[in-house]
Amino acid sequence: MPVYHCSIPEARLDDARRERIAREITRIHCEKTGAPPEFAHVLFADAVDGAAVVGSIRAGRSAALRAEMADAIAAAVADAAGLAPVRVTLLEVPAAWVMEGGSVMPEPGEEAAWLARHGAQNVPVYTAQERHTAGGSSDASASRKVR
Amino acid sequence: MRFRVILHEGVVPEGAQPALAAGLGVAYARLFGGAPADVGVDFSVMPRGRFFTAGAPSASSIIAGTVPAGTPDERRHRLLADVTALWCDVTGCTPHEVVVTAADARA
Repeated sequence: MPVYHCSIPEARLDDARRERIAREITRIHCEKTGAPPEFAHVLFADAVDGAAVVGSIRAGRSAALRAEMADAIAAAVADAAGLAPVRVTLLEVPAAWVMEGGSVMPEPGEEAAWLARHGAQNVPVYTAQERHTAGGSSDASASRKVR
Repeated sequence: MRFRVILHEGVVPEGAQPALAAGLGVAYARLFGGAPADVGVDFSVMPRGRFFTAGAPSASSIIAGTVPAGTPDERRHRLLADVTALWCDVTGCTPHEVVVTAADARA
């Protein structure tokens, strides 16, 4: 979690574009929320017309942050797929309803403590300062560390 | 009750699906009653290049189920843990490659 389902006409995509979209959605989600990339899943399905992304994300982020994320994802997908508009819907799911890595997911903001508690190794985590420093950078690897 | 399972092509052998479906039925029925055979399971196998984790081709399985609304966390988490253990046992994956959800069923 999060899980982003992208519905985009096949004709608009090839493998490289799908991978670019997956990386962009992952980068945006992680930069905006501080979640580790390993939590982010992106799936693609064909669509007859138009483009839509439905993301199931952990509940607890502000409406303003969710709107920021939706706008950034819509722009990134539109750019990569060469079509607009892209409709983005974010659905909130309680963290307590989800298990990943054999543990119930942490509440938003508690990822670092969760990873430390569960002994995760080599999982990149954004700190608040790194998120701030990263700004609009498109190079996610430059703004994260490995724990 | 139905589980919806999403897999990436080539990650979980198709021959493992009956054992996974049977295991999901047993895990659910043990905690919530009913017959294991009454638990439905839909598998969706995403073609290669359609499922990414951390921006790279995914080796994860996503298993989405529901539980009765208001189920205490302890029982919900027991189901999540049992499904994770089932997946690791049958497929040989690690827990980090298993995402399980148990949402409240809509009334």
